[in-house]
Amino acid sequence: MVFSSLLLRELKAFLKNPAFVVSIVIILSFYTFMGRVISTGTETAVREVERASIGVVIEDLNDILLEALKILNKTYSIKLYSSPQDGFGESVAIIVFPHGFVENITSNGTVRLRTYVSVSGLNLMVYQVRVAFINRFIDDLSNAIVFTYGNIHNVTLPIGFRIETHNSAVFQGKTINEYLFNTIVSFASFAPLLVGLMMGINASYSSQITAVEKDEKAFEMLLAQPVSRRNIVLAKIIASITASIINGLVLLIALILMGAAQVTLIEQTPRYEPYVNYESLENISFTNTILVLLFSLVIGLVYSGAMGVIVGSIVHDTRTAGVLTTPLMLIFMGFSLIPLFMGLPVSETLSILYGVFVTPLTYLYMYSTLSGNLSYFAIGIASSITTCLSLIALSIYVFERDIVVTGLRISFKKIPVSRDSH
Amino acid sequence: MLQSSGSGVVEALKVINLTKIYRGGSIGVKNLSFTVYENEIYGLIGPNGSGKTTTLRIIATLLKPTSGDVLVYGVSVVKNPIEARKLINYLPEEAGAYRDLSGLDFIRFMLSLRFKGRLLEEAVSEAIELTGLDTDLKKPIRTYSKGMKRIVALATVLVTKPKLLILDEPTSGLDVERSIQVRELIKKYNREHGVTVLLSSHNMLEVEYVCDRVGVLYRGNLIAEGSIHDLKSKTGSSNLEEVFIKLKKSVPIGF
Repeated sequence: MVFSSLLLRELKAFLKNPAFVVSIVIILSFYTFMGRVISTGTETAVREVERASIGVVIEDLNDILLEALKILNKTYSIKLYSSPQDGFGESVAIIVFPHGFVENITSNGTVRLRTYVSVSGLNLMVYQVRVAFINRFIDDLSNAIVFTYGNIHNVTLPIGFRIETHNSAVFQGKTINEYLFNTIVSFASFAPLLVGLMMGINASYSSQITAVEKDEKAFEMLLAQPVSRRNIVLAKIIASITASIINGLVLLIALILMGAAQVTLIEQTPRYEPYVNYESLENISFTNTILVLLFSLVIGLVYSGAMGVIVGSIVHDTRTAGVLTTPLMLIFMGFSLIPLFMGLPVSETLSILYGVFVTPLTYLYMYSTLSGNLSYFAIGIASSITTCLSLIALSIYVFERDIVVTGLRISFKKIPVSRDSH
Repeated sequence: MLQSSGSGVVEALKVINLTKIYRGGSIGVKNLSFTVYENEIYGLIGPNGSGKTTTLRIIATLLKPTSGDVLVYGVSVVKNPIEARKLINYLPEEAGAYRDLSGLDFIRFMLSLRFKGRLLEEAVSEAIELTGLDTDLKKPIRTYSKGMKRIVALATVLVTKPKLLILDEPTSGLDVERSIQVRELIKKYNREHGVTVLLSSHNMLEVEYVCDRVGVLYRGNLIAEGSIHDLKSKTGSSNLEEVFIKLKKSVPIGF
């Protein structure tokens, strides 16, 4: 009975808190929007593949292979190229059939195929959808070859052969080893999440250190001292950043160690050397990437620190600050997920958006470097700095308003009454 | 620029047609005007919701008025809040202190916002002496009683010897002994250091004991102002509580 009373009181404290309701609405709205973005990205990736052609390069013309491809052409849109490079701009995937391909199959040997998967962004989902598309095509091709062989030779071909693929990604018309591509994309995906996580922690710190002064009842004394509000705000932002950096240092070291481990892995691969080397992408500088990650972290921490101060300024107490910071943290994490699922090629508009979100800056840098167009990254940096400065200005502005003392009041009734304590 | 009345008395505080309407339409104060002269202790009295805290917060530069102005020794708190803050200090109702700090660290921190070097050390020593807390000052503030926190906060504002000291319910929630200590300190700094004091209180006895003049606030309006003796004479009352009750009854319905 006593416990149920205690529990009821705690639950009521949350459920009756308008900030809790607001946070639920924010989370629901934001992640519904995120869901739409993600599903649009997934749908786009799948539809692109469904509509797209698959390119084939045949190094050794063979009747059985040609016949099998004719059968598949009823289901797939197949284009024949003389070299993989010819199809880079047209087909989402290109498969190279080497000399002796059919002979190896009919003798139940192992066949190695080179495949090229075109991608327009550093997006694992899109890449994997296209790899799956190739695998499905190869499965269908195997069946078609068995069928064609049986028709021509009037015998049933025992299925004992094995087809292995050596995939390369094609980005901006240049090839990149699949393992390196996976590493780059993994890093480009993970780095924004790290920044988003740190920003969430930092926003929580800065809102708490602002709101706790109200609980401690020392806030109004501080505001009446002859110091500018700007200095108070900046001190709070810098203090929260320091705390967050200390907190996140271990995480960052772990990330670097993880990145280093992946680089080692790349050196051990590939299992097969590419048969032909087309214009390959240079490896992204690990040092530069880490520097960009650190830069985005700093910008992100200032950004989230300012947002935390704004939240701390407008609430009455620490509990409400905590409730409102939770959706903020989830939104930062959500910002990190957008480039992973959007699957769109980066444009000037998207660069501005990524700069506003801050978390995808590392992704933007890696994309810009790989595509050889650093202007996207420059736009993103300018956009993030502008957003960051705007948020600092906004936090100072809020700190100079009545709301910092009175707190945010959500009121639906306008009854003019005389009142004293606010 | 110092403001002076015709009789040569310096106006420490001049509140001019002050109105504060909060977002949502609730009225804090309405067309409020009064003046506090240098070296005076002026008390604002009135029931809950009469506009006392709103008035003090505007004077302390925490809130911005909807209209009107406040001049502290001629400096507008609206147009030049930083300059105004150099002339004032403010002790809010139920003022606390940072729980993670010791009493001594809190005193040092707050005073470091106004003083440096030797002046800071002198102010800190003076505040330590005022509190009378000795070794307790080294303990974390979270272990302090309400009275201890109040005296620490009061000491940090008194030793700055501001031109105008604003105190919101300075003895609210304190026991008799602490209340007497606080009142004596206020009077001492007013008398010995020429600190002009504006305070609000529900405690009429306290106001009678401490203040030279009072302003009576009711529903955001100043319904009477004057020395305690004058107000008693005008209303035929024997004490300030009676003055307030009679004034309140005389206010027309719908005021």
